Amino acid sequence: MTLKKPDLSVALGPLKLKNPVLTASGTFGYGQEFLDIIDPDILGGIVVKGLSLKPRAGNPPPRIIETPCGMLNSIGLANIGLDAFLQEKLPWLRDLNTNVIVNIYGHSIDEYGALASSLKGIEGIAALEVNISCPNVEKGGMAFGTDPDASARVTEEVLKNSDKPVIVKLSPNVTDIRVIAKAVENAGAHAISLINTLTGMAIDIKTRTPKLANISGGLSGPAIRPVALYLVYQVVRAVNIPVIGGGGIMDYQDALEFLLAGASAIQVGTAIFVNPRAISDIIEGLSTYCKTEEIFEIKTIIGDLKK
Amino acid sequence: MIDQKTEIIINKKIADGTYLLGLNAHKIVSTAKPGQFVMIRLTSENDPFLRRPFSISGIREDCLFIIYRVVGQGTRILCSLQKGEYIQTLGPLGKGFAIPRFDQKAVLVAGGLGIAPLVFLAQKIDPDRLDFLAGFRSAKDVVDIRVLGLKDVGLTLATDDHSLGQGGTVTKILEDLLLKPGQSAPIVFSCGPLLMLKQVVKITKKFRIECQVSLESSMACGVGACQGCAIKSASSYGTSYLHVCKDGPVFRSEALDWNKYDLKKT
Repeated sequence: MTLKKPDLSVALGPLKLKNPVLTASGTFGYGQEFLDIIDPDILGGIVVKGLSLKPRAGNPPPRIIETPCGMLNSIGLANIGLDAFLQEKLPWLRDLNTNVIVNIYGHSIDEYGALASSLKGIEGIAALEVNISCPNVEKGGMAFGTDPDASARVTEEVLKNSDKPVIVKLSPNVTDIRVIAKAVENAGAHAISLINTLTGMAIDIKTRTPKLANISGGLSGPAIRPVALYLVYQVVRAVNIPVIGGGGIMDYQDALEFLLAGASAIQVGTAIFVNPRAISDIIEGLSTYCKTEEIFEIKTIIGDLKK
Repeated sequence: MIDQKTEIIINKKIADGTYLLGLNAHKIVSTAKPGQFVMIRLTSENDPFLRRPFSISGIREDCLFIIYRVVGQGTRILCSLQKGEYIQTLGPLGKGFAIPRFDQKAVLVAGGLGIAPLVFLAQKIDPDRLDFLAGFRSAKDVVDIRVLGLKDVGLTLATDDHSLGQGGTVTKILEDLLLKPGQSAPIVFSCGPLLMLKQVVKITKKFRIECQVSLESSMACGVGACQGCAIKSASSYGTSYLHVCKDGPVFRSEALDWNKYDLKKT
């Protein structure tokens, strides 16, 4: 008997994905950087680099430091800004056969609203991912994502100004992530993604200075995977909206752990730097796993965690 | 840019702590230009985690050569690999040197392992129009550029401790060379420690001649996605950064803000 090709499609509320694999914001640029190696059309979706109203230069270097099984970054949301994104990047992204999710960041609640409003009615954007969790910016970012009221207010402001599904990306740098998740859900978010990076630092013992010019940075890579997995597990049980899980996913086995914990889709991030083909390997790996395990639809294993 | 499994054909010590690595990388060599680099994955495990960037030091038929120095965990693993083993190599990456026109003179100024990208460049320049100045700490550190087939190149060697070649610094030799009367203005190509590069940039600015430098930086992706390898540009419009992986690693010296290039942090 030949098994038919397993169905990898999943849904994030109103958003349909052909497979559960998304790129994490800031790790796949605008989809063009790895074009020689990865065809973006294979993806469930691309989450583009965090976008702000005005271009941002980002933080001074050094911005990245390797750590055991991971890395610290303090990029600081360097990006080309709204106008350049719409003119230079979106026309190309729009022609892709995948969901383009725009990650947005603001200094203030009003700025989040203004960005959402500027993207309203624009074709080729499947959803917004609201970044309330960047640890590398002075204003905004994580300052909102660590406070339930502020998280809810940002979410409401974006929803008020947007015609697109709204995903809110949460920070792990909180005492109880379920409180933030619920606040965001109550504010009307369509989905939640987690985790953004964990705050950390590294010191050069010769110069006795922090290795990152920004002093602290965000830790990512397989080092954070167990932390991310448990936070996803907790949030899935706290809310009734779809959850996108990620944090240190390197291969399809890692991706399966997140799906089993209850994530409806996953984000692959830092793995891309080490192995751009990780994305296609994960999609193929999930397909092969489903075939081998005789799973016809991957969505049936979401949250199928046995006690 | 190609990500390919490459077989190690040579990995031998050529100076103190310095190795020559040869990889069978036919797809990458077909488009590799001097000044470009590759990102090598040293292990399929997660530690050390990131790939490492290496300048391309030369190509011959299907082989790509890299000269590297053992400085940390990654290069310690690299030097332990044997002929016949495979490593994953991504490249060619970045913007290389703008090769001088046939009628232009070139002066190559290398400090230590800064020689790595310059030996590749030297292969593309008529030896009659080329001066190659290479400085090392001591005789034991000296890399013989003939390992990559450079035979007829006029090389001036300098060591800090006077143990081989001329004593003193390559920057002093560069200055003396540029002071010689009756010379047509050359283009200077340089790679090496930051202090040396700053000096080279100062000298070429004084003589008003073109200078191209190759920089090194920590990198995560090597292709412009992570924006980790930022470097301050000379742009007068507020703070702006270039990226060593994509905008470089070779830059015209005037494109960078040398005052903001922090010694402590590199």
